[in-house]
Amino acid sequence: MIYHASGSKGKIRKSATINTNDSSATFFSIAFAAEGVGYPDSNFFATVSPLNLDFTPKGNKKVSIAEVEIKNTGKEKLVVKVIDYPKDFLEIKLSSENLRPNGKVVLKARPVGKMSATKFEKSITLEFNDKNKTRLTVPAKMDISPPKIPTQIQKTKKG
Amino acid sequence: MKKSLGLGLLSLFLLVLAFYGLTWGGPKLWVKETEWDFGKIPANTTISHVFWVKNLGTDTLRILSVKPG
Repeated sequence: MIYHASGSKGKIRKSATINTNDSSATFFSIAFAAEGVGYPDSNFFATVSPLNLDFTPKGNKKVSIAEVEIKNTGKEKLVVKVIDYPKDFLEIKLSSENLRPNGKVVLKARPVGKMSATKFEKSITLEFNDKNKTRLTVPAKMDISPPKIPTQIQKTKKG
Repeated sequence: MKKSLGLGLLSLFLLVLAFYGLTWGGPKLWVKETEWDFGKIPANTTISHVFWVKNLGTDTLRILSVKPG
């Protein structure tokens, strides 16, 4: 399920109904929930920088590893875990699961495996151990589109 | 009397068997999870999650259509 959150803030809930030939489950639904937030989010006990991972090459320079820094701006010690990520596309490593107040951890991600695609948009979900089990999703994308060759405009001369 | 009762029971038994034959055989959908919570996401971005579907049945499971809501 891929969702384009075009500037949406606040609670989001979307679903899809799937029709199958299983007579006991002809129709079933899958759904997701999210909360679009602006940044910085004053209601959040952590800062995240950057907000997304971009593996798109910058000019001729490949992006082999991208990092996200997560800092605990609250007063309570936290534990953070990665609970979902695209295993076929990325290898990830969290420097530590423990986040003391004012402490920070670094999430590193590296494209691996079936990275022959020229473009992908995936996401990594983290979960904190606060009383609400707050989750945070970091989008990860890459776009290695072939360069566009400008079309030549032929001018005709009037004789 | 006993004969008709026996035939009735046999018919009922065959009917039940036929019913279960329709439901036991064929594809059998199993979904690991039907809901996912992304939590906080940056506005103006793209997120994705994979919902895994498995066929526990004896015949090919077909996804006939998907309608986003």
